[in-house]
Amino acid sequence: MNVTEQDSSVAERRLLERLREGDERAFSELVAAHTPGLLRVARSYVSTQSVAEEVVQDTWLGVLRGLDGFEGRSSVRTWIYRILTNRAQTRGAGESRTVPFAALAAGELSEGFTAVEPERFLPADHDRWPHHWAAPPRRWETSPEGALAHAETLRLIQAAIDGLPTMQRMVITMRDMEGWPSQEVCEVLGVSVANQRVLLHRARSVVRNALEEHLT
Amino acid sequence: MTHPPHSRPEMPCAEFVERVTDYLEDSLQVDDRARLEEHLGECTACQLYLGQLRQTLTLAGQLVQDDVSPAMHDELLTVFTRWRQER
Ligand SMILES: [Zn+2]
Repeated sequence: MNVTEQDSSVAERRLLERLREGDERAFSELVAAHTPGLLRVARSYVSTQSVAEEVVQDTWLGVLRGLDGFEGRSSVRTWIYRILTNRAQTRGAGESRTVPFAALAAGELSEGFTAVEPERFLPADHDRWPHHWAAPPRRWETSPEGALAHAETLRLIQAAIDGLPTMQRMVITMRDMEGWPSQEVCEVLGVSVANQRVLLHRARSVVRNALEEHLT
Repeated sequence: MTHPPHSRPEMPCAEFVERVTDYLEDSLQVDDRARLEEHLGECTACQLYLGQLRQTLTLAGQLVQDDVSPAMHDELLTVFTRWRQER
């Protein structure tokens, strides 16, 4: 943990102290800091924005009711997001049994995957360059200055992420959209570091492919 | 391809694209990291691929979060008030 993380965790623990005393401003601060991210992560798991909002509301009630039980063994953020994922799973499961994230991940990872279509590489028996590019990546025609083009690119990325399998979508949302470290993602989702990395790999590769499709 | 024939890299491009995340996550074994970096030094196509992947991550980080709607904010404050009364 670096100095900044330490400072921010000290600050968050103080905020929790004030919350325990019933300070409404402390609640507002926590809500402002975490609700947008909570909504995004909830949305990556449940099917609609309104369900995501219900789950997040439920999460905050869970935070308030769980305040006295929080022992500070994880960061405040990790604790809040664990409450979120529990609520989201309960909600998402409906009447069927809840599938743990680790099992969902195992299911996704049992599917075959290549980052790039195999046909884009030369065959194994190629006399000089086996498994090297036959159809190398194409340069992207982007003008980062064009705000419209940029907005369109971001829409493409969002659409590609929306189309991913659930665990890949959750992992890329937390890692690349929210900017979390891998360890914390693993803690919240209960998946191994190795599996988290493979999920991230698949997600990023798919999104890059989608951009290549549209930007060349 | 752009590789000079005498310095054929040990890691082919098809392997590079599967290990690039391990590389970015700094989770490759020392030898694999060396093989990957050696390949990267010689293969402009994989350099481009890596650059695009990095650009993809940067762009994903620019997706803006929705603000909390005023309605939701009000509901959360109601949740809070009710909780404080229950205590
Ligand atoms: Zn290459």
